[in-house]
Amino acid sequence: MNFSELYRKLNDPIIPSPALVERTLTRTRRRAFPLRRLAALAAAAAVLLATPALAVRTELGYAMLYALAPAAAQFFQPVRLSCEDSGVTMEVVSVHVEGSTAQAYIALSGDPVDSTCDLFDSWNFHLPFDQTGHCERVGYDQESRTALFLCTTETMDGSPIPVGGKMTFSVGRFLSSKVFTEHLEIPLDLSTLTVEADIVPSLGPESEYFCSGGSYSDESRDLWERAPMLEPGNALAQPVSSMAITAAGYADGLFHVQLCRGSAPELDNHGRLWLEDAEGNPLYCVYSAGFTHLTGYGRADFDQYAFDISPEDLESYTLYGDFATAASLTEGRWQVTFPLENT
Amino acid sequence: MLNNTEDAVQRWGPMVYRMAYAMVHSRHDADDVFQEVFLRLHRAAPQFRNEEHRKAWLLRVTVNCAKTLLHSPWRRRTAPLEDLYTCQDPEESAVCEALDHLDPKYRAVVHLHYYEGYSTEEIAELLHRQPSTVRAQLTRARRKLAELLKEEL
Repeated sequence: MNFSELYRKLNDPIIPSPALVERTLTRTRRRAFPLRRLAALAAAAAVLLATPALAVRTELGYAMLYALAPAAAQFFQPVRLSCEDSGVTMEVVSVHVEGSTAQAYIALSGDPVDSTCDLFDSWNFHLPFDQTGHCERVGYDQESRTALFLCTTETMDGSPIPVGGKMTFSVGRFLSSKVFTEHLEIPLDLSTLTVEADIVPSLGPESEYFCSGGSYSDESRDLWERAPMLEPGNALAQPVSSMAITAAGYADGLFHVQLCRGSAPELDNHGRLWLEDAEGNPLYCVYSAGFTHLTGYGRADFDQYAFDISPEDLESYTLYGDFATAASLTEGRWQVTFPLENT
Repeated sequence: MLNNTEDAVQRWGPMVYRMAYAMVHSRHDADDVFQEVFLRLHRAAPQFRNEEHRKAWLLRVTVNCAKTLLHSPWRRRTAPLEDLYTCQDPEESAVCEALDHLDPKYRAVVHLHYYEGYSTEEIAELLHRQPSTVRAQLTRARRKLAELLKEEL
């Protein structure tokens, strides 16, 4: 069989699940814009458009105008090539426009900036046309503590970048002092964990713990939907600073391991766990479930991994994990606006 | 009927899903791309000249959405799911593994060429790239695959 035939054979069975099709169609059916909201926005925009200079002076005005008329919002947005907040400066270094693509190098400098600087999903592009884009860190200069980011945007329909347009790039927070640890053996004697685990209620936001997401396949979705939350206890193991294994044991016939990662929205500490046998063969979880615990004192996030393995087999396995932690979160408001023309 | 989302999902859903999976190599991510593509279709409601025009629009948006997802900082932080389609025999497994080593932009042109049957010129028009760029990408992809598979394609 040649490559062409093999490739076709490989791809023929790849089709969307009926559940995915149904979910997608359901979302499109819900997508109609509420008339009252549209009317309110139109009224707000009418006021703002009548006083464009005022509109761009306030973030709210800009955001509302952008929601309804991005081209108008960007037209009135003043050029601002640098911005400083919280001791951190953002600057536009250069802009390059070619065909349907525009790229801008943006520098972020200041004491909290280091080589692991992560914009933590807080960046935004505002452009006067329908586009897809991304932002990635492409360099770091230790001496000046400057991280360089490359922002790339492409028109959705492939048409050339409109002449005279402006792009606004903003960032609200970033992480630094990040550490990545891969394939770490976790010192946990699994043979002592073959007993049933204690469970705590986690039925909804009104419970002390509530399920806040997870990863599952179509086959394991049912299991995930009724995932039990193990009662967190003292750390059974602490693979990396600020993350701990806080429970492990059997529930509903599956072996569960619970990883506490502190307050996820603060430092985005995260990881993944899996089992390996003596030969290094991995056994991945059938699903993972995220749980959140909110109290007046703060928040704790837990990830629970469920493995399909018998207590007898478990003894010959070792727990492994990949982890990413950050030690610093810097918040502020950095925003630059620049013409989409070559510099 | 050409601007009807439901009809588009029924008719072109498998094509969009395969294109997405070819690039992201994850069922979970392909699900996300699939939904995003049809939500964009629904929101934009473009007027298509004919079925081929609609097909090309869907493929281009799928490639764009997959690229956006692949570059998303969030995706890099998310633990990858073990949600690959499994291959049945060693020959298929070898091809799967080789494809996994290709850059997603090469996987996109490989898929459009070998599965959707587009010529390099058609791919270039569809993706708004230069034909020479597509030819170079396809050549590099073939070479890389050949190296990985230790055989001439």
